[in-house]
Amino acid sequence: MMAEQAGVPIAVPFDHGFYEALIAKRDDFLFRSSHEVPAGRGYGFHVGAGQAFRLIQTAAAQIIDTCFASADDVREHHHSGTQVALEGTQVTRLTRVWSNPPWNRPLCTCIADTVRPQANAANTREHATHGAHCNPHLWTLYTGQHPRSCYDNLRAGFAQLGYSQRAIHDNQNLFQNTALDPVTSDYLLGEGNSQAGDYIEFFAEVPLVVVISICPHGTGSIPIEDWDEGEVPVYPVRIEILDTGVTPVPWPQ
Amino acid sequence: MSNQALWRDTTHLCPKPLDLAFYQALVANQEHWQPRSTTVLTGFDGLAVELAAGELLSLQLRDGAQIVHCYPLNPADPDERYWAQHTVTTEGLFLTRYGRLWGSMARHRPMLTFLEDTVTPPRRDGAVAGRHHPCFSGSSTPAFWRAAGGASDIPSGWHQMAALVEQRGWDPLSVLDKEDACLFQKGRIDEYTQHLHLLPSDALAGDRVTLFAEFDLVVLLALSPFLDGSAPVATPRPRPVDVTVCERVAEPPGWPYLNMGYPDLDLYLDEKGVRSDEPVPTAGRES
Repeated sequence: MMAEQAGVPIAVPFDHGFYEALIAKRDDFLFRSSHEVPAGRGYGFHVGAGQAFRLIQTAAAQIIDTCFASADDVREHHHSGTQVALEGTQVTRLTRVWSNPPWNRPLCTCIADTVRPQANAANTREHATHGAHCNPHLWTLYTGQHPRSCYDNLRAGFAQLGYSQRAIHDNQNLFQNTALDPVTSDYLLGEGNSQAGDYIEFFAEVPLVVVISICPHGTGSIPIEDWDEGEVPVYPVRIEILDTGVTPVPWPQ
Repeated sequence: MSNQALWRDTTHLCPKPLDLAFYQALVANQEHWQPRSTTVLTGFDGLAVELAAGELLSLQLRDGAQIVHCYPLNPADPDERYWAQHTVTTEGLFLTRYGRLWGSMARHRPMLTFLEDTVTPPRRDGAVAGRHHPCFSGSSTPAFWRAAGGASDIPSGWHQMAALVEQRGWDPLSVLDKEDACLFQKGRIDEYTQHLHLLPSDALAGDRVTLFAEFDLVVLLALSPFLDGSAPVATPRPRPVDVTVCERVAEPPGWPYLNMGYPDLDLYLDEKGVRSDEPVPTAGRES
């Protein structure tokens, strides 16, 4: 992971050896809990510092809009600006998830990503850091209907943990296949590559509140202007929480 | 005009209708724009500009390229603030004329619309490929300033705006939790890695952007200590920017447009007209 400013690489401290050792221990992580989230719904859960959590595709490719916040103060949460500046626009193994100023620290680190994107002309890949969430505005604008949008699902997930809709923040679009066009800068959407059993796994650097929405857009394969032309296939996902037995490295390093 | 006629020919992920003729008429009438105030932004202490609906905000470079961070808010409800994430899906990463800065939930409406952008396309022969005015870049964050080797006694763009927010009695941790637009900044998206590479700006002295206020706003502005986007220097000296507000040029068209699908905001707003702070799901859409 290397950001760049005016052609000068910017190296953010990263203890590669620590994460390599952590990943090597993954088979020894202890299973703590599992929860299946029904298709098209939201869900919120806590993860302790040093625990890992896994988001699993159970049936087919399914976009999961995901909010990451500090359990100590949910005003600290994922921040796309910091993320894009320091790590880029996509998430995969060894990408850290950064929080907003003034904290500006890693909230969690991706330690596994089993999705294998297919080569394509637009270079779209899974797991975007900056695509926002669908909301009642988009659905009523494009379809005249207001289903459970990701905004509503995230609101419901935060409410499960005692937080209001004001805790909803800029999320990541896990399992969404995207790219930014290098010429037009359009936000491109491709067909999801993930399959049943694929997962992404994060190591919590701090105590976390994680809230997910199973996007009613499904895998993103149906153009937005066709959302009203039939049922969009939407699938459940499973969440697993594991004890790693590893204490996070304090920040700043 | 039907709603359908207002859809732009666009490949954006989340296109939204735009009354292009309305904005083109404003631009055609440019010679009648009347400045009502000009402030020269010269330091790293930021500026909060009050804009009434229908007024214009112009930023003009005096001495050469200087990145200006821009973060509009609704002064009557600062929970309504610039939403860069959704702006990217509707406008693409880089803004230019007739692009819009979109506001957050629950109203999610246009805040500012670009009427002028003299930087795009770049005019410098041999310039590295790239574009200007990213919806966000993260370069205003303290983390990026520090990581780039910036001096600790120089406030990042975020810190400048946080001080402006505190002066108004608002909580910067809540109000400034989203990203700012980075005017005059140049960037390039790497086709394969999808990293955003930040580059020295191609903007020149005299270059200008002008934005139309869609409703009453406070616009927070901060000069970047990266100056034109070059690598940090020990004692950065910001390049001055003329900040001009022009008197109201037109009644904004309002949002939503006629016959446009729009959600029931009562599902989200409380009796004061702000986003409810009750920890409850949206009625009828519980998980």
